[in-house]
Amino acid sequence: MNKLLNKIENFDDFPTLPTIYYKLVDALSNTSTTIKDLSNLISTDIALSFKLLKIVNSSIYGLSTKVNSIDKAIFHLGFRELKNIILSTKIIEVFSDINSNSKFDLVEFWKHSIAVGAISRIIAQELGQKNLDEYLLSGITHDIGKLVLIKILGSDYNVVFIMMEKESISLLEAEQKVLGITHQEIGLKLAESWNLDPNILNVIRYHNDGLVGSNYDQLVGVVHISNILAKLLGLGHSGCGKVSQPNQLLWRRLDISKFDKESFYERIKTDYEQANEILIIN
Amino acid sequence: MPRKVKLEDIEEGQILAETLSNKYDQILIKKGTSLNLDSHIRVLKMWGINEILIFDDLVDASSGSVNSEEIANIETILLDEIGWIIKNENDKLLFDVAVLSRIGTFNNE
Repeated sequence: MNKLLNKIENFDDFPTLPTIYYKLVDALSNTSTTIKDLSNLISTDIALSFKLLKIVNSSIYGLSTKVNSIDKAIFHLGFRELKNIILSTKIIEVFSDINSNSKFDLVEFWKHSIAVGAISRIIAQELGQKNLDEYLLSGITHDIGKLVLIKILGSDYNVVFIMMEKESISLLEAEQKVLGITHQEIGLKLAESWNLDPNILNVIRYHNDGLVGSNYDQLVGVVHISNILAKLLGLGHSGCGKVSQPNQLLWRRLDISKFDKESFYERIKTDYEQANEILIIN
Repeated sequence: MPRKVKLEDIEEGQILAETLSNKYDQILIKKGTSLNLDSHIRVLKMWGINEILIFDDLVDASSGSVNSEEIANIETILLDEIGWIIKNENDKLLFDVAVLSRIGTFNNE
């Protein structure tokens, strides 16, 4: 077991985000940046431009007119949402070199994360939130630490799954026991190295609890609920089988009980399928 | 059992046995809706839908084509799988959506 711990402690090779993302962040922080500047920058990445247009034209956005240029896409999204979407697509690309094995399937992992993102986005929209793509991004990043651990340990990470099943403990407990570090902690390190927003750091750290310490945070709460619902619906697979009960304290602040269940479910199905089609690289 | 009917053969008040969407996957008319010859047919024509599924009789429609015994079965299995108890309306919503998703797979079989 010490061997695994050593591997983790000596790991200093966190994956980096592509330069275009950092160029974009720079441009966005500059107040004189125009839509044209951004669209010129994005157009240098053909795959990204293509994905961006597909997302904006999907039913997830439900726009009434077709958006056929990057300029218009940026106009519809706004700068902040643009950054969230680009991060979502780039993070999935960064980890595309991970190998699946008998206990862990990368495509199923992303399907689960995208499901959490899509459900979070729908709930946020129903609750009247504006920054919807921050919810999508949160779903995509919530379990990112698992990928870091698998990147470092390869199939050695499976010891955690085996321990979890054998002793009927939670994934976090098994990680703590076997590795001395959890996917939440290492995910947080990665997100910090990427300089992600504090909101996203909170999601990575607290989504299993649902509360930030004892405080309510809508983003964290919604991701907590969506994570549970994605598991209940069997959308993708995150590597841990058990579906925990929602944190009951959350329901004091977050009320989704009046949602129309049929249209809610129909939307989840459509948005999930579309987001998968656009975001997952095969 | 639901059956297929052509647009011109639809009668006022028949119950839709499927949820209809447009090509952008946006829902047009939900399953279980009592059809109105004016407004609903116009929507269907607009999106080029020529044929729809309707319930043959009201018994069918009221149980949504899945009998209550089947739903009860799904609920029992799901409760057993999750291992926790539904404590309030919010827990219930999550649970109900999960039940719905399994009814869907029953219908497709």
